[in-house]
Amino acid sequence: MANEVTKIELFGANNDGQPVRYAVNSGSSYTKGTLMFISGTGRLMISSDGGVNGLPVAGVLAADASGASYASVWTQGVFEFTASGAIVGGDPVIAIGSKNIVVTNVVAGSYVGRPGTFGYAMNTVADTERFGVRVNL
Amino acid sequence: MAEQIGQLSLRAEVIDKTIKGFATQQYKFKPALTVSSTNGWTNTFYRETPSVLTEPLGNAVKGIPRGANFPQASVSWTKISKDVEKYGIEDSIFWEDVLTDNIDVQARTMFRIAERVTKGVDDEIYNVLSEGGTPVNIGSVIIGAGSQWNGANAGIIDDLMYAKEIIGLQNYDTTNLTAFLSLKDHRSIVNYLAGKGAQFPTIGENMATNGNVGKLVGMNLVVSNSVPANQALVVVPNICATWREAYPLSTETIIDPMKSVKIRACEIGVTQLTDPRAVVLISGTAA
Repeated sequence: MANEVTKIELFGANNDGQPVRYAVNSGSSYTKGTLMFISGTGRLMISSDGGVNGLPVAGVLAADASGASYASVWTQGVFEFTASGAIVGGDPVIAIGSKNIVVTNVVAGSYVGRPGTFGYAMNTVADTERFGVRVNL
Repeated sequence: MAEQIGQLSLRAEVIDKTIKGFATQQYKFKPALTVSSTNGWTNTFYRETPSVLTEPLGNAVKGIPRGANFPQASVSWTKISKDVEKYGIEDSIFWEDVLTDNIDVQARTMFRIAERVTKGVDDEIYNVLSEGGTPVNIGSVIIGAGSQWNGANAGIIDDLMYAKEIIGLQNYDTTNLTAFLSLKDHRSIVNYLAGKGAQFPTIGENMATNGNVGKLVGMNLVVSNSVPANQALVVVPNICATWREAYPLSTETIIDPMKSVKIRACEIGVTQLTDPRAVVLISGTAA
């Protein structure tokens, strides 16, 4: 999978990434390492395939979910993401429409406050580089 | 929907549960070290200045006059302390995968996790032995442009003998040296010796037939992926350095009942370059 989110360190009890269970659309297939978003009601989550700006992040999918009704997402840890545009270490990050891509939530040195911040950058990177994000949900 | 003849889901699938597509990373450098256990975080030794004592200016060792004072000289030592380092890696496997996967993911994870620690330790040993590719205390042979081992003007035998000479000049026994090579340099050596078949008919034939080199100019050749393509390292085994081991390579299984199995591997130790003069880095071996 392009831009798959991979774990660097899992936090939480027993270092299990503090997984949280959500309902998923049982007609869809989701791949492990996909950034998932909260949508609708009943703890439903959807994947980051297209047009998710502004939705709150659920977490990183912990296992493939194909035809299942429920899946769990890691919510605590450090994960490797792909950057869109330059990101400075320490910047809060949000997801953009493209799958598993994140951008800084800081513009001209100021926190923008766009919804959907789910962690902060662990290091400074350029466009398309892979880097660590401290996910804290 | 029910399936009919010709549909994919009816086609049989046989899964070969033997894992393929990998080769195990093994310790290559560690066997060349003396392994010694330790229970201290900081490990210290004294390295004696290897050069012969300098005679005082104007008061030579030779020719002391009757009744005169003797010339004086002192031995010097350098205190070298190194802290042990912890090498480790882990992974968690979902309990459901342990029970129901096509392959034995738990055993395979345990094996590969341990292998990764092995590689981490071995890479570090090479890094210490070669002083990170920038020799300061160890001996050095620099091969000039045009004389690389994969070139037409290679002098592989002479380069290796030069390394042996440097070690021998420091009074170390050179009858059983080990040379660590990259795969590229190993290839160059085989080609070189095969090309010299007229001068070394037995070796040349062996090179051409078997393609391997076990020993050359009295050195045991060891090939490792951890050696950069343009370097070779010649050492006196078991003398050159010591691996101070606080905790040997071990794997642990931590079970979170009915939820997950965590596999963790760890090793604690440090490489002490006790005898840098028993090591020679040959750099510039490949163009």
